[in-house]
Amino acid sequence: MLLTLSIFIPMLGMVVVLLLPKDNHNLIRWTSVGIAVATFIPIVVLTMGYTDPDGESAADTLLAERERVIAEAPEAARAAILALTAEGVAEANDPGTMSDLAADDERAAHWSLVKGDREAEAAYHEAWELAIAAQAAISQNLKYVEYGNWIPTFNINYILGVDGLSLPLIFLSGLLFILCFVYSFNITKGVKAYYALFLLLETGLIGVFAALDFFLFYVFWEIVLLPMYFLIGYWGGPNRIYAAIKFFIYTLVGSVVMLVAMLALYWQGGYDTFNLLTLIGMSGNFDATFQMWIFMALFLGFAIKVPVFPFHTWLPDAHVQAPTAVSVILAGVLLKMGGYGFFRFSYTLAPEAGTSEFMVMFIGLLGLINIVYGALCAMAQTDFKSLVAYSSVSHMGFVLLGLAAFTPEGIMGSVFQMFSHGVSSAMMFLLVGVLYDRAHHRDLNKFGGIGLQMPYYTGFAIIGFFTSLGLPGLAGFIGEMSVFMGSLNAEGFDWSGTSLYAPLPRWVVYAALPGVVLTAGYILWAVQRVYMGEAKKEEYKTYSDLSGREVFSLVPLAAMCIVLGVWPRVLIDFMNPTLDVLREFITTAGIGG
Amino acid sequence: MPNLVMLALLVVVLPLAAWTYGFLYAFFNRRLPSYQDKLATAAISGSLVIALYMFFTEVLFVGSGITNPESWSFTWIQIGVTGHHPFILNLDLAVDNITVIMFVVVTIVATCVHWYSQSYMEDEDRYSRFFFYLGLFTFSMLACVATTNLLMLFIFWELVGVCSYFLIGFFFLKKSAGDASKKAFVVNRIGDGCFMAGICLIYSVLSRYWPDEGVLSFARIWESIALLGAADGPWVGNESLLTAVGLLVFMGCVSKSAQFPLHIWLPDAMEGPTPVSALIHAATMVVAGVYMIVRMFPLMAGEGYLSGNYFDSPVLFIIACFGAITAIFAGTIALAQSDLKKGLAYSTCSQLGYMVLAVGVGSIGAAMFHLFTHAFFKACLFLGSGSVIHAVHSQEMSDMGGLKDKMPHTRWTFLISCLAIAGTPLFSGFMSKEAILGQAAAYGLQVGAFWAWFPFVLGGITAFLTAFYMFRLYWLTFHGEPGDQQKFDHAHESPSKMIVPLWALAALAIVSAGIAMPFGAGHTGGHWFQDRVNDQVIVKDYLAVNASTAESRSVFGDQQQVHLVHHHDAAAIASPVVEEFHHNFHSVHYPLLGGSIVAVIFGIAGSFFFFVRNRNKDFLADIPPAVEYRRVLQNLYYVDWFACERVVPTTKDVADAAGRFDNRVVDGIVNGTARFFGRDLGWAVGRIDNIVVDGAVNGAGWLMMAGGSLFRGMVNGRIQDYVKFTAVCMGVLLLWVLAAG
Amino acid sequence: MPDIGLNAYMLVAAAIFSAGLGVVVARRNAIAVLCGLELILNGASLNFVALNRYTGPVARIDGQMFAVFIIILAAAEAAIALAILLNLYQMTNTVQIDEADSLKN
Repeated sequence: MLLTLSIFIPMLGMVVVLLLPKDNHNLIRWTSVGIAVATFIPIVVLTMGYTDPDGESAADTLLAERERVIAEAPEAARAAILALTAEGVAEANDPGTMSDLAADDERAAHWSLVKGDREAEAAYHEAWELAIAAQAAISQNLKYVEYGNWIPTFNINYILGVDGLSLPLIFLSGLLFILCFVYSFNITKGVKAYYALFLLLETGLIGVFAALDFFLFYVFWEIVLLPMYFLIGYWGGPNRIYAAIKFFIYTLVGSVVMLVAMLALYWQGGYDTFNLLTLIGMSGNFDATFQMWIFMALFLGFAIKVPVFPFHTWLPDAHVQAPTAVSVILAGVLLKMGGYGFFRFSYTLAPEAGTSEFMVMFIGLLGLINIVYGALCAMAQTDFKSLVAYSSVSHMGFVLLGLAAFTPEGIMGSVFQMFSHGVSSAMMFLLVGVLYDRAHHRDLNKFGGIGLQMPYYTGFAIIGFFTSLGLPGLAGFIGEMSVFMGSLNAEGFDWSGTSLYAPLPRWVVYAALPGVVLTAGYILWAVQRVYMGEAKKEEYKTYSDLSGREVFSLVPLAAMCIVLGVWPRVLIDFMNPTLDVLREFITTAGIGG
Repeated sequence: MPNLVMLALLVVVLPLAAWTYGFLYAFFNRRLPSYQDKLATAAISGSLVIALYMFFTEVLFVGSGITNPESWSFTWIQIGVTGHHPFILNLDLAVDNITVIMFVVVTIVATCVHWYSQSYMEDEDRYSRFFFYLGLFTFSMLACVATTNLLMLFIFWELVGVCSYFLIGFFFLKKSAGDASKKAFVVNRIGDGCFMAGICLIYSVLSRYWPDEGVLSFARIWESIALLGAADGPWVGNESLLTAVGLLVFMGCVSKSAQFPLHIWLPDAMEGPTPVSALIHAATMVVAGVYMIVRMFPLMAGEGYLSGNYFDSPVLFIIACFGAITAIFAGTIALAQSDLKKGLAYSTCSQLGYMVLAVGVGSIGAAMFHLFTHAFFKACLFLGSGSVIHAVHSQEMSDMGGLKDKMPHTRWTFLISCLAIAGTPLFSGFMSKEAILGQAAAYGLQVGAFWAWFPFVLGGITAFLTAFYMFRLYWLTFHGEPGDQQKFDHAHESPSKMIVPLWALAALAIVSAGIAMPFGAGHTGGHWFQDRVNDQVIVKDYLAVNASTAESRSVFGDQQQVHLVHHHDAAAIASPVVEEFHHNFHSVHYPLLGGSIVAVIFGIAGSFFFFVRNRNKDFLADIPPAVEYRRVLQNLYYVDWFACERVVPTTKDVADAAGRFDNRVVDGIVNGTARFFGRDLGWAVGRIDNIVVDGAVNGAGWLMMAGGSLFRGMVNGRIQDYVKFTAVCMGVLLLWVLAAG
Repeated sequence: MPDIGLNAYMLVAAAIFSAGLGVVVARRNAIAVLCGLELILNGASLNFVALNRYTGPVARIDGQMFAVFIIILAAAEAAIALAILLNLYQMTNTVQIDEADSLKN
């Protein structure tokens, strides 16, 4: 229930906001903040309750659902369905096999009781789905699973659930939205539409991370696109239409390819299911070529979001043209959708393809290019926001590098980097926004001496930018360090018993090391140009330091940067079991499959 | 938690507490407390007291110092589940001799600097902020030397670097300060990147051998080297990787301790306030690199470590070369500096070269010893220079001169420190430099090859140069005629808060080497410092308590297993190599002593002649062939020029090219694709629709029309024609029937 | 009477028919066309009679009956045709048949 609440409160909130009078800006603003806080409360409850060992695990929920389905099936078929979908045998009794059973097969007896009766067949199908889902390795760490039928004809169900991978991202989304809403008090045109669209965006984002049905995931994924288009296209900078269209179409192309993959998986093997856990449970049976196609199709969809070179060029335009709060959400959460997609979908549905030699090198090289190329491009920018945008490209390269390594610290570093990047780049965009609100330009070469005039703001800027730089003691270091540890360890790791025969070679990581120096270079150069030196223009001496609203939006992020840097266990312990199981699954699923 | 570790924790945490207080206060009040200076000074003084307590009770007067360092571990991060090859990073704390010695160095110099700065910086706007940064720095530095985990050391190492960034850029209104701090950080990052890679590789190798443990602690690293003799040790089969790791880790030292070629940040770091230069860039931060390679000595010595045969280790030789080259390189540049602080900076660089050289030729004791003595006299020199600069309001020596009567305290302390650094007997620097050169000479003798003498030769020349250029600084500042009469009239001695630390440090410059010689001579009869900081003993003692298995612990506990290099320890078995080295060392000892005294005398006399008698500030300017060389020196051997005029602009050009590539090519492809699919393809399809599809439709219609007009001609209204037509058709039909039938 | 065979009769009938057809097609005068029409009809009726005599059952005289029908019908049709022609003459003042082409498209 909590998950559904946290997904749909924003949507209901949107309706409420749309009903408010459009001239009463303050009412709209505070209502929206209230709605965001109302969304955040169930999320916090979820987070605190997740580590409670007494909570109901996914397996229990799914099995309970299976019981219910069987109980609602036609009388005659119940025992047969129970037998067919029992633990241990369910995997062999998939719908594809059932429809071409030989007559002398012992299961034929059971099947004959089910076959022909549409209700019984539907019940069997659903029970089978649930049985496989309950026993999938990933389900061990899922909690708060919610299950309901949505479109039975196509076996589309309403399944939500969170684990150590998605819950931190949901938490981050919930928090960032509150901060963005507060920060957006300085929007003056179309306030109602702005907040309504933003609330819809929140629904889409939280839904993406919580959805466990592929179709539902796709729906939420697409819901995210539309508000972004309008938010960038109407409230954005001078070149906003171009940026909005580019963002929309680029992402849509990726999503369409993903749709193809989704449908291919639906029809694969006659399984006819969109239930992600079921598909993961059966992914060992997919053959290698099919897996490779699926992986590449999904890869395109997610790579555009991450963004991976060469599909990253929408990012600088979108970020620069979007208003500050939208950039914050874009960088803080949207980019993580892509990374999350890799972890949740690509590698679990096509594990053999993912751990193949080609794919490891491919992802590793793309990560390397992202890191170094992103850093070089960042150095060349003169627009502050553009620099931060390219630094996002560079940091997401670490995610890919850690992913290609498959070692425990590599995978953890990858996810930790996603989270810490969400915090640090959100903070950086807010910082740039604070400056832009005063100066109305973002040209790095025209700034100077801000530190003298706005020392409190500069303090936050130091925290934000040094997190991005990867200074130990702040959040960015942990992810970076873990990724380097993990990826250099890939060659030396004990891969016996897994399907990873060709781990990431060390030279890829050596080539990525200069990225660290380049990052320091461009960040410090930007800091020097903006905050140090004498005030380049007289007006800089008149700027007021941070207002209460701005402080409110910066403090939680700064606090998280420091806390995660000093005590990363807060997040690492949370994610450890999930990522461990995930990693084991991905690296061993190809064996014997 | 063992007692000593608790004390160490206290030493480390006191400055942190002061800093955290300032941080939280600033967060809520948007400015720092005005009493931050007093808070910071109190904290560091507290740490000093505890450190001295530890030093006197545990190290100085006791046998060989701390002989069973217990470590305390706290799991900071665990990634992965136990049993599935987790990555464990522990906060390891242990206290052994080296730790306490470093504590003493850092806290003494830091306390002096804190007191000094209360007077020196009192006119500054951002006075509290200075102490705020200093607090963070002292915490980081103390933590860096307290931890016994390599990755934790790296973390604090980087924190120290960032504090250096803030402090060098303290006067951030000046562009030069901003540039200098940026340069320092980026250059340090280069070394740090390599260091990080080395750490990751160590982890990779060791975690295979000890899964489910935190393998980056010193204990495991040292043990892994000790296991090189065993058949299944972690580095066995990985020797080339071990060499690579040694070099990568050393690169961290190269950047942090300003070795050639990554020394370029140190002279620019003089943009920071003088107390900062004294604390960070003379005594503490830059020596973190030396400290680190002292700790990682077994790793770099590699295979020869256990037998004491370091002389075959390629990594150590490379280290020695770096050190030697740095020493002479920086020493020669210092000859041509006109800025007092820059001259001292290059001198620091040169002395750091000496320390690194010492490690390279196999004696961490000599390196640590020089670190210890150097910290005091160099800090004294810097603070003294600060005093002069404060009085004269200029850093150029052309504005100074003849200050000896106006600033007696400063002059005498400066002189004492110069004597110390020059290596005058009875001053501390003499002993430490002796140790280094002795070791280098013995190394040359031991190996025998001509290239093995390289470190010693360069080191020896530098010793001569050191005396020469240091005294040049002294004569030019305090003797001769004043360079600028106005400034001279204005000058006065500094207040007592600045004088007292100067005298404290000067006293230590004399005493720090000799004081304990009769005391605490230890059971080996050797020099007290060398006793405490003997690499074999340190490692052995540590592993006796902290090795991974009980079996190993007992092995290390047994004195017999370790070969001591330098001392007459009858109970230990010395390998033939060690015996030979011992012999060599003693044979060079006395000649060296003589040689160094000669060098000092020549250095002092020579500089006196050049700079007092002839008052020739432009040294070498009047020796025509050397003018060219002088220009080279003034251009710092063009290393800086290369870095700033070639490397940085090239990087920026590459970055710009990448940006343009991204904009035009990659984005161009995207836009082009979009244009193709959106506009062009649509246009083409539209044309097809227009021409082909529509054309087909129109064509069908035309066909109909044509057919129609063909048959229309037949209907002309005349009956006879109709009949004609009917008849013809009937005939045809008839014929057809007949034919078919 | 000597037997000259069916073929002779049919040949004559064909000749008469063809002559009639030629007249219908080639003559411009409407009355001449009607004459030709008579010839066609009579040729056909001759055919009927001859075939009845030579190939029909002995006691039957269907062909001859048909010939009587044809004569009657020819007379009736000639009467009607002449009536139409008279009307046409009154309208167009000519009996040239190729002048009557108002049914042309």
